[in-house]
Amino acid sequence: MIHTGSFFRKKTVIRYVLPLLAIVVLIVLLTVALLRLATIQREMRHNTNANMVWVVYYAHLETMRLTDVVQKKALNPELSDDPFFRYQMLLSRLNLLQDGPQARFLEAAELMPEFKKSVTSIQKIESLFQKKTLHTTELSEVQSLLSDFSALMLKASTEAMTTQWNELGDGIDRNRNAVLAIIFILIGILLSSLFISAQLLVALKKIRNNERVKQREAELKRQLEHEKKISELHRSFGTMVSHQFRTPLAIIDASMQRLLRASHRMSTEDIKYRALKAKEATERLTHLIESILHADQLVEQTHIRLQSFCLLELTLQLLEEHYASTDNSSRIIFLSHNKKIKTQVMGDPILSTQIIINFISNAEKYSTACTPITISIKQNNNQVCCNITDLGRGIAADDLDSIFQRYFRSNAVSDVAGTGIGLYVAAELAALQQGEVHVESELGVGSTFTLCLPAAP
Amino acid sequence: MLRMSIFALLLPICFISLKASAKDSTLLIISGAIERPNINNEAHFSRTMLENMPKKTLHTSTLVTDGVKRFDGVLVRDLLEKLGVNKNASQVEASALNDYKISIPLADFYDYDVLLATHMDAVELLSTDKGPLWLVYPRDSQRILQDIRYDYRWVWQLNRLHLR
Repeated sequence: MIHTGSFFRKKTVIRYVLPLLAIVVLIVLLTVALLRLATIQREMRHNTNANMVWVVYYAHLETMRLTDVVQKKALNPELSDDPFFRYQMLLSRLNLLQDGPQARFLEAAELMPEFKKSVTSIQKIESLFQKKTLHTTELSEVQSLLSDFSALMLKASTEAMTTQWNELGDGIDRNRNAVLAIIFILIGILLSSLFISAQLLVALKKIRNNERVKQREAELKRQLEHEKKISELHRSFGTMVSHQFRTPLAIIDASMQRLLRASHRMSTEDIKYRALKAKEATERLTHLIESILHADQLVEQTHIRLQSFCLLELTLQLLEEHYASTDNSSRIIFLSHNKKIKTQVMGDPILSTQIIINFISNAEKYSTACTPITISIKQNNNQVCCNITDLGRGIAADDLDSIFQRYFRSNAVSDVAGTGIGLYVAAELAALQQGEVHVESELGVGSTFTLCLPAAP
Repeated sequence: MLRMSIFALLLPICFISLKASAKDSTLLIISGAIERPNINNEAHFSRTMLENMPKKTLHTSTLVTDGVKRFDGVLVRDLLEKLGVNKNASQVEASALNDYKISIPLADFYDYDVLLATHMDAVELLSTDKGPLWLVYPRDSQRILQDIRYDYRWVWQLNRLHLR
């Protein structure tokens, strides 16, 4: 018992827990991959320090230009170059370097104290840049200050370049690590997906196997039904044989016994009469056996020739032949049809003739001779139907479902000879032509048997 | 017909106002493919003239300052519409006092509210800083403008726009 319990737990883990775990892992990995990608995307937009080298370069350039203008002006005061304008340009660079990220860079590079000192010194000599001429001492003061500031800017530019390159390197490292992490995550996603796919395939295989088992079950059920039908058939056959064969056999037996026991006392006429009765009973038995064998041959060996024919004309023709071939000419048979309906059908005229004749024979057999038989041709949707109605004894409601089954004979007609094959053959022949047969009946009132065939296009 | 007459009256008035105001010291010169210049095929704008234009305010962060700044000025688009831009023009060459020169697609000024800022945080921009004019893009409101390829178009100490 303990062993079985652990087996089921193991099965549950494999069936449900592992796939669920794989899905959770997949979702987590996808989320992490997305977050890492978003971080890379954000970092790619970060470009603050890319500006620094350029800012420092321009500050240095403005220092050089101011020095140049001051020197030229000292040599030739009449020159139009304006040192004060160049000083203002330099001042704008100095202001820029003291603002925002530029100031933070100088702080980080520990250049800010030196920078501020230089700025203060340069601002102190602002008035010199407005003068038309400069003394030699003033000129050398300006040159010295700007030269110092130029050296500072060179130092700052190197610092900016190294900082920028280091940041770039760090960024590349970060991105490389992030990409590597994403590659591992993707491998994880791939493995999880493979596992889930394998689980799906196993599940699909199981579903297919279940379907196969269900199909097998259905097939077995069908076979069982078939066996049941055969068994039912045997039972019906047995019942039919016991009813239909027993009477003639009893007659033969009784006649033979009488002849054996009292033939010496019997007249020739009497012996002849007994022999005739035995002969008639034998003939009936032969007829019964023949009709059973004939029914199987009829259904199995029938060659169907589907063609368009007029069901009304066929009925009229077979009625004429029926009257001519039987001595039942006193029986009244009405034939009714609506002239407006089309009576052209698709089917086999020979098979249809057999069905209708069977229905008429039954109507004659199970109704008294003084009652009429009515045949009507009607249209029903895409079918044309031939209804044969008698006013005979009718069929019990319980027997209606079995009436077209092979060897079925109602207990109510045990007094009439029959094999229970005629209606079965009629139903089989109708099905062969894509047609169908129906019965409507009321006990003591009469029956209507119908053959319906597809209407011709 | 009536509309035509009004337009014919308004055109000289507009031209005169440009010409009269250009007497103040010039802050900005717009040249090249323009239809209504005021001095020698160029349009000269003084601070007074710019102040008479419809004002526009923009709040955005910049690459060289901290935090969100308030910028006041006029839309470059408004200036160009006032002057009339030749249909063939596609590029604008922007020059600054420090000889910085850069080419900007003309479409920028129609696609985005690019400001010709005269004030930052209500303080007038000076040439010793980033003034007197600074081309400011609405960087915070348009994600595309946060791209590094737009950063070099923020020309400060702007003094000339040449359309070609």
